[in-house]
Amino acid sequence: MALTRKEVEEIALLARLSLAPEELDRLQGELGAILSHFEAISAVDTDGVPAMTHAVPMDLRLRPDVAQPSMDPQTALSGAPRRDGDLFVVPSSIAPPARAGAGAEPARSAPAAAVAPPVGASSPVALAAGTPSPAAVAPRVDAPVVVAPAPAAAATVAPAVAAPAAPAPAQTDGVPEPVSTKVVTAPSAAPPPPKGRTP
Amino acid sequence: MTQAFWSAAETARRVAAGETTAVAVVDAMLARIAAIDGELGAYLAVDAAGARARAGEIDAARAAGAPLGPLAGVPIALKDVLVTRGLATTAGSKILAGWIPPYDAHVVDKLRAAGAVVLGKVNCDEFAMGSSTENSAYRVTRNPWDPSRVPGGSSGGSSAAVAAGLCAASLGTDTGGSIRQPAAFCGVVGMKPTYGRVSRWGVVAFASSLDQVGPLTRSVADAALVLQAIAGFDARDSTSLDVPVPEYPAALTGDVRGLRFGLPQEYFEAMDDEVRTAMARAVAALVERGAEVVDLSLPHTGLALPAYYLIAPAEASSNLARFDGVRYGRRAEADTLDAMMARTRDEGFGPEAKRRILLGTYALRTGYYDAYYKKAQQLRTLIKRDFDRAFRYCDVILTPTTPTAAFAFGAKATPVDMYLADVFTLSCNLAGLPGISVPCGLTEGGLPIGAQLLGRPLDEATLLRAGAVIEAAVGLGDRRPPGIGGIA
Repeated sequence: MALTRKEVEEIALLARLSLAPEELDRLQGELGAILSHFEAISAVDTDGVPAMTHAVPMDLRLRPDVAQPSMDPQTALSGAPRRDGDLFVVPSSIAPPARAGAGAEPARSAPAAAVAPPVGASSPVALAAGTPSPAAVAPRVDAPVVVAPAPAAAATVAPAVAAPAAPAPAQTDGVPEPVSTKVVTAPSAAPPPPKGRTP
Repeated sequence: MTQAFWSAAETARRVAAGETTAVAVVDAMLARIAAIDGELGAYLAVDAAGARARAGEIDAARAAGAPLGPLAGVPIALKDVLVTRGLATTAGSKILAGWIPPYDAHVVDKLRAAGAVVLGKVNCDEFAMGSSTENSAYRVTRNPWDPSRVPGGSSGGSSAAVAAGLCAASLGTDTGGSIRQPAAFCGVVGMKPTYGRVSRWGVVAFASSLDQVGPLTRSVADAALVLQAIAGFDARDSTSLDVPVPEYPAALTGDVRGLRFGLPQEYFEAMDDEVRTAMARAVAALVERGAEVVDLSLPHTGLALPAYYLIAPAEASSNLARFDGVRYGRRAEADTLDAMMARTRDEGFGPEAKRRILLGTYALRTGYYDAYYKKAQQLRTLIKRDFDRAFRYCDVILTPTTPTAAFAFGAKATPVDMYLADVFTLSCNLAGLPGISVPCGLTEGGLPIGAQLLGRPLDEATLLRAGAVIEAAVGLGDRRPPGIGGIA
């Protein structure tokens, strides 16, 4: 079964793999060869055959909905490539402008995109790592993305736990925050409050 | 026998009896690793300080008269997909280079509680994807019986280290044969327990519905001892089975009278003549000892390979999505979040991981799910039903573990060639059954051959009992690898 080059490019994009053209060429051939070995399965009659979901029949267990101790934030963050306090630091989802002249209008795309997870991935920001530092996050939640003039790498600080959005500070005059190399944002839609947390 | 080849049971007995100390055992092992492993290539990380400290605790406990565990002072190597607190864990991948896990896998906790001493982490194919350990991003691991050949995979560091006497036992993981196949290639015992028998908590996930942790050892008795230590319910793994664990060492009665062995014809169609001869010897030995043998058919065997190579990559593509440069592991710098993730993954994953991620992404894509993943899960039901029917006529299924003995480096030129090396071991994982590979002889060229036993769900005890009889009748005895790590 042959895969087109476009299909390979599409699945590479879905899988968040930035592949070199030679690699795409090679994989196009290899994946096609592998898939051709699987064609036989379409001829097998599986009408009425249930899909196997567990190797050994078992009932899913439930436990009482009571908070239990888990890894503390500092431990959970110990392997982070970049961090700031209790937060994982990632680049902005918005490409910095190619050139930012004096007085240029800062980018104003939706900040929500900054934390969009890759397809099929657990959210890069939602893994439990403790309570976000209110001082670092709350005052700027829902603020417009602020881009520093010609930043080398604008950074986004995302809350390590998806917490209810704090009230946004008034930003009626449209004046961006002072120039900073660090941009703070948060998911635009307030996620449901986490369950089972200790008060 | 030299100390390097003491069994786990003998080591624990000697430590408990005060004939040696755990520190002396560890020091001897560390010296042997330093002497041999440069050429063998089994270890990715040796935790000399941690092992000596732990051994010192065991010796202190003995001196104080405290009770010792069944694996007291037994030096163990862990496949590098098992996370270890404070000890680098890479899964054979560059994407986890430098990562120091903040916790121990459940099985590591259990081993330590039994008194075992962790020597270090051993090599494997990247994310356990492969059959030769050639997919490791770090080093080549050689087969101690013939350094020009692969040790098998993906638990090739485990099988090589056990065979060469660089640990008393090792833990590997088996998703489609990754414990049993390298065990067969290196002449050691390898057991994949029933899915759910051993907790997967703290195992770097490859294909979650297939992965299982199990022991690689130099004897069936040691496999029973190590399995005893790691088996059992763990609430942190939602697929862990909350069922009683029998006394495995007690299962080794040496008696197979009346036990019925099924020989599935589909597994005896294509194999090397020397493998066929070894299997015939094993069957004859079992019959001589009072076992019954029945021919049977597992008609959907041919579907195992396509079902496996759709399900495993599909689950892998989902599991490996977590490696995105955000929370742990390496990160490639880029201006935007998407570019950072895509570059991190491109630079961090090797060719086989990328192939499987793409294959799985393709199979799970909207519009393709029914034709691939769902269809494969239906085939899995058909394969499982084959086994359910077969176990009405027999207690144990006996097959070769692999169609050939260990192959040479680079011998499997294409991915599909490599996948075909797993043809006898895949069904066991798809059906969730327990399986064990036991050495059953050498080829004329001096390469080990493995016999595979498959059992009813949760019936590891019968496999250990039957495996020990095969080991005693046609096993390798005291024969050790002549090349690297051998006595010679």
